[in-house]
Amino acid sequence: MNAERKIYFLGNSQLIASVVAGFCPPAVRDRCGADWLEMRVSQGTFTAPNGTDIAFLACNMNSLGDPSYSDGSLTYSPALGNFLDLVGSGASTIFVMLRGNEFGIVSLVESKPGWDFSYGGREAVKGRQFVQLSDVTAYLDGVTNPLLASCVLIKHRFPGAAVVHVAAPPPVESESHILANPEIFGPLFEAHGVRPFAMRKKLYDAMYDGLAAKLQHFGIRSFMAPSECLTQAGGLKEEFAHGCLHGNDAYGRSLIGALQREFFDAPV
Amino acid sequence: MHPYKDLPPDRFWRDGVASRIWSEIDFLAETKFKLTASDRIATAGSCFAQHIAKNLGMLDLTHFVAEQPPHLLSARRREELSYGVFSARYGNIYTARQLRQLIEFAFAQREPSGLFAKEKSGWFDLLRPGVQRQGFDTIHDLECDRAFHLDCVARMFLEADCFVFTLGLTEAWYDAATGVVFPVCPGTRIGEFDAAAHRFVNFSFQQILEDMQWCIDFVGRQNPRLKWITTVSPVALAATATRRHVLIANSASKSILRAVTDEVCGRHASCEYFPSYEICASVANFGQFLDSDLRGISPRGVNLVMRVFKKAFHARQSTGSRSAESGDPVPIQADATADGDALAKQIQAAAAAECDEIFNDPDYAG
Repeated sequence: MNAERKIYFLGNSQLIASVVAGFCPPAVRDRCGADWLEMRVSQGTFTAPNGTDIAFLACNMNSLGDPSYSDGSLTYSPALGNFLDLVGSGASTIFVMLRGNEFGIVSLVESKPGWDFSYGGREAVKGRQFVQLSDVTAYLDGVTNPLLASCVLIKHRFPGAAVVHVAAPPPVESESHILANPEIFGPLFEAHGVRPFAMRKKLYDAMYDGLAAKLQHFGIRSFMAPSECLTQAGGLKEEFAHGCLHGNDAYGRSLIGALQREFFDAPV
Repeated sequence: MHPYKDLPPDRFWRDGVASRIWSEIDFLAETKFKLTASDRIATAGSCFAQHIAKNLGMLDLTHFVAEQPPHLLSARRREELSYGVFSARYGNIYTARQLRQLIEFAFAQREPSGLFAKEKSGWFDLLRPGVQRQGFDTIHDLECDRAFHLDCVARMFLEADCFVFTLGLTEAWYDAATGVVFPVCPGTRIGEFDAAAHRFVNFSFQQILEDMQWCIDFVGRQNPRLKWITTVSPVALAATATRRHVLIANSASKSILRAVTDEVCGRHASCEYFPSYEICASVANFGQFLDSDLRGISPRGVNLVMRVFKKAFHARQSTGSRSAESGDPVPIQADATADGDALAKQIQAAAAAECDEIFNDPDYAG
């Protein structure tokens, strides 16, 4: 079914922790993990539940540098260009799971003083330092610019392919889960604490809403986390979380299931 | 022998003024206290006070900014949003009553003000019309910003070692229903003037003295170690709402403010007067520090004010002190500051202090 399609997943740790973990045998997962540590590119394939063969390219985000997009001009590292050269000709759909750690870096750790903003009907909390939405948006535009640039570059390099940005999962709602799985943020959590979930979610929404609108301008769709992985408040359920920032293998399976319904099951 | 026989030269007009180059006059030979780089110096007042706030760092003194900008703002936005102009984002505080009500709001001595104005670009706080130039999207946002700001104001008074306050005006407009005083008349910069709701007051000596006394007493109970430096702005009134000529009104206002500061500093050992008014506005300087509008103070004037401030208060620069805390005085030449050039350049760059009061003049405001 749909065998003539050439579907690629490009990503970093988000791809490895969720999709590769959910669909590839342990040996492949281990190899990807080792490659990630050694800054090498991992290549492989997996098969979606409906039988669609999918190729993936994964690497450590730091090995690709920070591309930028400004006033119609793209700047990117040779490493990113070389990485994209590995995508075969005739790719029909490219799912981009590159980067995605931006959200975690700006949202997880509480700041002093704690700040807040009003967004989408969710008002700022009195007592926290208020920041105007336009200032938050300007800040987040800077934060997501490398991700925007990555997607625009891919669209530019593969004009015949549908490019879909797969957003990183939303924040884990459970603070106790985050504290129990702090990854590199442990000392920072100890010093400053975890930012309240409502604020993390608001930041996530503002960040990805803005990015999605920009990507749409370039004909790039955005795909958000499957609803089955989310709490009522829109956070990531802890059973779908890997550490404090990533989705796990169950999340990867759920994500591919949702993408399959949306993209792979559709007639050619 | 008579009481004038052994007085130092600065007590005589001929030796203290007439025979001196203006920049070499020792305007404040003795002070009640000294400041060091470790002292947290808070600032507030009229537009002239911005110069003091901006230049403390150049004097190797510490401007205590209790309301720091969020890290996500760019340098340009921090400036636009008035972070660091004063120790907190209260904007210009022209009158003693304004200072008093700020303290009352910050320490929950008074119900928060509901004095807002809706403009095309958003909601504005009539008590801080200049701090958020595009306004706020909602009243809730404005109230959040103000609540945090007032927390910072309270912290500023609790944690500061010294508070420099520049009195600017005796004239003000207030809300008839609440008695809350505005920094500028509604309708001049933002909002709409309502003759029934907005009333004019020209505070008397006694009223200003009571307000200053209240501020010093109240804050002193919260932070007994706080020292005050009071000044009077040498910048003339842009406009008067009295029925007098603006020059006459200006003379009356500055005289009253100057008299209040003398009274306050005479009463309190923790309170010192700094003569920025005399340095810049005395007729004996031939108006050499006035801007071309004969109202504002030129960068040269600000430069001299800051040099005198450093000489008078900085523990390492002072020529004398009535307290024993600074040790042996170290005399310096008024024109011989090692960092004079750099200081002058930075002060020149910072000289454009924002003055809301200028909006009282419709021709200026356009």
